Amino acid sequence: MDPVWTLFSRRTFAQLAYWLSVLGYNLRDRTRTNRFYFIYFCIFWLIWITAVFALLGASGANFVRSLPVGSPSALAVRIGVFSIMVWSWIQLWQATGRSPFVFSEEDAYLLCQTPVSRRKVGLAWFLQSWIGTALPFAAGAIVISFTLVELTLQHGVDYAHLISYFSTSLRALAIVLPLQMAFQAFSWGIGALRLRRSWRDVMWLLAWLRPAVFVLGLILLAGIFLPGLRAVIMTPLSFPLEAAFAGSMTLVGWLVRAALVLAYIGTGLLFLIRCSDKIHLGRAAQETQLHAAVQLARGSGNFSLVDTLEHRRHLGTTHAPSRLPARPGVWMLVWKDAVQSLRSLRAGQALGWVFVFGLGLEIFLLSNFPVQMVMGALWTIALGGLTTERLRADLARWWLLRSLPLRANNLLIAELGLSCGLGALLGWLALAVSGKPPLLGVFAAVLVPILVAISVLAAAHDILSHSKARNLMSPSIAEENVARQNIEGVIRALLSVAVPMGMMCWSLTHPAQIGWALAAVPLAWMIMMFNLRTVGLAYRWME
Amino acid sequence: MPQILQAIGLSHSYGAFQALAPTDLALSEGEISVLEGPNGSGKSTLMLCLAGLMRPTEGTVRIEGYDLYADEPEAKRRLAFMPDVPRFYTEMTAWEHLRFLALAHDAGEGFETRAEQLLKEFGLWEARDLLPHLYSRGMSLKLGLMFALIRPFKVLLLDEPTSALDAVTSHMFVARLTALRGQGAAILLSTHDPDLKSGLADRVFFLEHGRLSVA
Repeated sequence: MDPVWTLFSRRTFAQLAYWLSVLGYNLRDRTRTNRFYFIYFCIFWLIWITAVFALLGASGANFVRSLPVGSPSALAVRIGVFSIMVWSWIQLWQATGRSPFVFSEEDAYLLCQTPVSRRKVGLAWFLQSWIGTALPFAAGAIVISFTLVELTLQHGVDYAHLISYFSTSLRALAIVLPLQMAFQAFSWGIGALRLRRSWRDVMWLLAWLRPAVFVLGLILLAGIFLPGLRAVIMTPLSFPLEAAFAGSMTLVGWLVRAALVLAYIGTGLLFLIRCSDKIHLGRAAQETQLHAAVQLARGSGNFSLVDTLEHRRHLGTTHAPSRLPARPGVWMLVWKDAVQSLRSLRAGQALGWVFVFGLGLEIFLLSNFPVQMVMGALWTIALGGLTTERLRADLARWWLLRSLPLRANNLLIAELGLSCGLGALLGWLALAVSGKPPLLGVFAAVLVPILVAISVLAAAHDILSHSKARNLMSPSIAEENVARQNIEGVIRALLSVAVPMGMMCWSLTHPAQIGWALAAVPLAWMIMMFNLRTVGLAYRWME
Repeated sequence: MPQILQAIGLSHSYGAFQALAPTDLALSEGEISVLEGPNGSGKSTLMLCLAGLMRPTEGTVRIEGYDLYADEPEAKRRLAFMPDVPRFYTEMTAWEHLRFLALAHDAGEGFETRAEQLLKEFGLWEARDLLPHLYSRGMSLKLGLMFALIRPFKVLLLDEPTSALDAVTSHMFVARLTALRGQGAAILLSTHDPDLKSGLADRVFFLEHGRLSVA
C-alpha cells in the first residue's frame, strides 16, 4: 500500500479510536460483546445528539422569532455566507504566512526527506485537517436546519417530525460541507503555491500574495456597508447555499445548485492537487514544527509547555543588543528584568496588570468594609502571582542566578523590585483616581507600596520554600521544575496583608478614624521586614 | 601550591539516602583536577555543593578563606561554574548574557573587547544576537563556557564540559584550560572522557557510592 495513504489511514484510525474511547467505546476491542455494545453506543449518542440539537434548535427558533426578520431561510443563508467567507479569508491569510500543511518532528525526519508523491501528501494532509475543521460547520448547519424546522412547526414537536429534522439536516450538510471543503482546498492550494521548490516559479506571486489577501479582506469588510458590493460578493456563495436552507425549492433548482457545489469542490481539490505537485516538504516542516509541537502539547494538556513554545514564537529568533542603560552589580538584575519584560510583553500579561489596577480601584472606591477586604484578598493573590513570574523563570536558571556575587536580600530586592514598583504605581494610580481626602490619601499612599511588598514577598517565600535545588538543576523543561504558589502560600500572604490592609480599609470607610491608617504604617513596615528576612533565609537555605 | 578551594566534611543526603559521604577536598592554585566515577556515584552532587548551588547537609566550602555561604558575595566572585546542561534566559541573546554576567561581577571594563574575542574564539560571533533556545547543544556548551571566562575567577568547576563539543573546539578548550592553569586558576572538571583526563589532569579524584578517593 502507498506509504502516504498508509500513514493517513493509521493516523485517522488512531484519532477515531481516541475520540471514540473518550465517548466510551473501545474500537480496538474485537469481541462480540463489544460489537453488540457498539449498536447501543450508536443509538445512545444518536438520541443524545438529536436531543441536544433539538434543544439548540428550539432556542434558535425562539431567538429568531424575537427578531424582525422577514425570511428565516434568507437569514440562514446570510449566516452561512458570512461564516464561510470569514473563515475562508482567515484560512487564506494564514496559508499565505505559514504552511497550512503541519508536519511533526517525526514527519520532518521520516516523510519529508523521502521521495513520496507530493500530490498525495498534499491531499492526505488536507483531508486529515478537513475532518476537524468541518465539524463546527456541520454542527452549525444542523443547528440552523433544526431551527428552520422548529419555525415551520405549528403545533409543537412530534416524533413524526424527526424525519423532517433529519432530512433538512442532511440536505444542509450535503451543501455546506462540500462548500467549506472547496474553499479550504483553495486556501491550501495557495499555501502550497507558496511552498514550491523553485523560488523562481513563485517569486512573482509571493510579492503580491499577502497584500492581495489583505485587500480582499478590506473588500469583504466594505461589503458589510455597501449593499451593491455585498450582493456581488455574496452571490457566488448565497446561490448554492439556498439549496441548503431554502424552504421550498424545485428539484431542478436544487440540482443546479448542487452541481455548482460539485464544481466548486472539484475545482478546489484539483487546484490543491496541482499546486501540491512541487511542494517543498522540508520547508513546510520547518515552518510548522513549532506549531505541531504546540498542538501536541495542547492536546496532551501540557499547558506550561504550550506557554513556553508560544513565548519562544513571540520572541522570534534574533534581537539587536538592548540599549537600556546598565549599571554594574545588583542593578544588572533590574536591567535584565527590564529587557526580558519589554521583549515578552503580550496582551495577556497586560490584562493581568489591568486586573490588579481594577481591584485596587475597587478597594479605594468601595464603602463596604467586608467587600473591600474581599477585593483586598483577590488583589493580594493576583499581585503575588504576577510579580513572582520573573522569579520563577529565574529559578529555572538556578545556576546563573545563584552564581551571582550578591547578598541574598539585595538579589531578591532587585529580582522583585521592578514588578513591585509597577504594582505600587498602579496602586497609586487607583488611589489618585478614587479622589480620597488629602491626609487619608497620604497615609494610603505610604501604605500602598508596603502592602505590595508584603504580598510579593509572601508569594516569593512560598515559591522559594517549596523549591529544591536538585529539581531546579534537573535537565528537563526548566519552568516545570519550579514550584508554584500553593494554598499554604496564599493563606500566608493573606494573613500577612490582612491586618494592615484592614486598618487602612477601615479608615477609608470611616474617614474620621484616620488613626487606624496611621497605626497601619509601622505595623505594615514590620511585617514587610519580617517577610523580607524569611524570604532571604528561604533563598539562602534552599536545599 | 597554595590551596584555593577547601571543602571540609562536605556531605549531602537526599532524605535517608546519603549521596555524598563526608568529604574533604582541596584544589590548589595552578592545578587541574579531574573528577571521575560511574553514573550515580555523586559527581554532580559534589560539583553542585562545591559551586554553592546545593546546600550541603554538613560541611563547609571555603574559597581563598571566604565561606561559600557566610561570605557568599566574596566567595562567588572567585568561583565560576558550568553545569552539564546550561540553561539560559529565553529573552536575552548571547551577547546580552555575557554583558549581564560581566557587569554583575563588576567586570564591565573592557567587556566588549573580551566578549568579541571569546565569541570569535568559540565560533559564535555570527550567532551573538541569536536567542539561545535556537542554539544546538554544542553551541549551548560553548556559551556556558564563555560565561565562566568573561570575568575573572580563581576556581573553575566544569561538569561534563566537552560532551557535545566538536574536535576542533575540544582542542581549543583544552588549550584554554592549560593557559588558565598557567595563570594560576584551580580547575576541577568532571568528565568521562579518558583523553581529556590523560591530557590535562594533574590529579584525579575518583568518586564511587558517594565516597571520594584520590586515584
